[in-house]
Amino acid sequence: MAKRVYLNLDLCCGCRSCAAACAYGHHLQSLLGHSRLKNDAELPLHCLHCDQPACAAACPNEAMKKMDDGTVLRSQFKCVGCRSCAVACPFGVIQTTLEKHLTPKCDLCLDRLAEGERPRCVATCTSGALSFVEADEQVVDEQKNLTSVRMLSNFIGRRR
Amino acid sequence: MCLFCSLGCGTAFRMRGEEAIAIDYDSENPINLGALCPRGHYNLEYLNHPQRLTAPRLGPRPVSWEEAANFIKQELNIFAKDEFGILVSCLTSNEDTAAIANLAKTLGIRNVLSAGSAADLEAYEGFKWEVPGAELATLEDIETADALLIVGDLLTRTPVLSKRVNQVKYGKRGNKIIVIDPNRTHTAWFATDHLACRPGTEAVVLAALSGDLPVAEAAEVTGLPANRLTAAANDFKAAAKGTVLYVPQEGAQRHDLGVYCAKKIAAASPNKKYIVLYQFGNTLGVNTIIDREAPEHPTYHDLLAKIERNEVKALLMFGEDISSGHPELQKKFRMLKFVAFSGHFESESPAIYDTSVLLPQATQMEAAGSYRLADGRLEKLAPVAAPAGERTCAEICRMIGGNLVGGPAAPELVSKKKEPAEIVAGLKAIEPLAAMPLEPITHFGNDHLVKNFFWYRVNNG
Repeated sequence: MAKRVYLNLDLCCGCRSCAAACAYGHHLQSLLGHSRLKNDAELPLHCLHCDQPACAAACPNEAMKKMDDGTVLRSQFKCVGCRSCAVACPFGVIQTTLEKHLTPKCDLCLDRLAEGERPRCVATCTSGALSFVEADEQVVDEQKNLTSVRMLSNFIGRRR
Repeated sequence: MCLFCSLGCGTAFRMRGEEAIAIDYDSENPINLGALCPRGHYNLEYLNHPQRLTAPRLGPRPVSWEEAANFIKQELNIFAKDEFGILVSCLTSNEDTAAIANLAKTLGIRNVLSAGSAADLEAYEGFKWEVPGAELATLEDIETADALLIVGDLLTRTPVLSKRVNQVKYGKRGNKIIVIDPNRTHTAWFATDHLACRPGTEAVVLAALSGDLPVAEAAEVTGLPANRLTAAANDFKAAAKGTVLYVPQEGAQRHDLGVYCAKKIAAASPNKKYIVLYQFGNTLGVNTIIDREAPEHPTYHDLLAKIERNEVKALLMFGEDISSGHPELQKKFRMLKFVAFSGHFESESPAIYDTSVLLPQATQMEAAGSYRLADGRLEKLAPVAAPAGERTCAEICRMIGGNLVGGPAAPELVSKKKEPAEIVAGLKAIEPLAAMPLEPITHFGNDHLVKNFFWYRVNNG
């Protein structure tokens, strides 16, 4: 199985260096979404490279395509910036801010993968929250119930 | 090496010929293991910025190096020695600072001081006060500690430390992370005990923990219950190994007293150390050298007052223009008759444009130098790229003041004695900046939803 980016919410300190690295690696267009969970966490939203990508189905110009290795990529030339994929994405990871009429879409830093290195967001992660691993059962289980011990303890502890 | 905070993370660049084209991640560096915070990524832009100065300028007019040097020498003769001030950026290397201090000595200028952030300089004052038994922590001390006492927003200033903070948080059951900050910051997410004091009273909380002030008195000023203060003090004292991390943040706090109390907490029980994380990379190095070479230099606020009273009429700035982005400072700087600015960017000083000489200076990535970082270690930096027409700070000093011989570049850290009565008087004078409501903050926008939530009703009747 191919390697993917996974997030451990307990470790993430919300510094957004992943977004900065992504922007500097992709011609100042950050391909990463970000979310803030009230006052308890701020986390990157990574493209999951779905098995049946809704973004590819929604694309009117066939710019999104699922490759043989499982990554979902966007063509620079076919994309017209209509943002249908951003609306269709069930996880909200595709942002709606356009740069050069292109919708931002994670490409897993293919140039770095070709050199045998990790994607930029994982390499720069300051807290070790992001990992680039093959999905075994344990990882998938952790991702399925993405509850954070830190957030729960904060939530309960604050109500005195 | 990145110098945008005093941690000194390793950075690497992808090179094409002699030009840095992309950031790379140096995963073998023991300080950061390849991690870089968003500020660390600016190193590339800093190096390749389109608005970098490459030739000296007299106002808007580009001139030769000789002409610029002659103009500065001419101005040096016009003004009296006491009417001159020299400001040194805290990103300057130790060798360059020694050269600037020598320049000031040969010219007879006494107003030499470092131009870091005001909070940093105040914290450095506290750092100098002598506390027997207080030791500077290394980064290993942070990750192997059982208790951390964090003052300020550590993970915004230095996100790279979050791996080490996580090791303490999830490493062993019973580890404590005590955070002192009025705001619910990113650092406070990781706290086991978040002491949200009234703004401006961080030093008083630390004084209560160190025993300088009675707990009841501190509780009244800080707005925290006395039992939480004693519990935090006992937790930290009982830990087998602990580190106090002090982050001097912008704002009207007494950082000198705060750092002094942090040192006292570290000295009070065995296996406890402290570290102060400054905003600029070489704050420790630049300040120690200036203290040694020009012991009678005025403070930052003194210099500003002198500029306002028209006692200082000319200014030499090395490294960065502190007035850029500060309209109030720019107003004061407009009163100056002459400004020479040796820096990196051309649009940095719009306020002092007409009367200024701009000299392009090589950045910290284009010149060799040594730096003293937050944990006291001395790092040598080799140039990454060749400067495109800029000169190093030492060369510029030589050009203005003739040949100079510098002393030893990196002196030992010095300490000063301070009367305890003076410190207690200072602590008692601290007042909170704003009276905060002390009801529990719900952190939800929709109050109606929250109050009907079963957990709220269970806890609040």
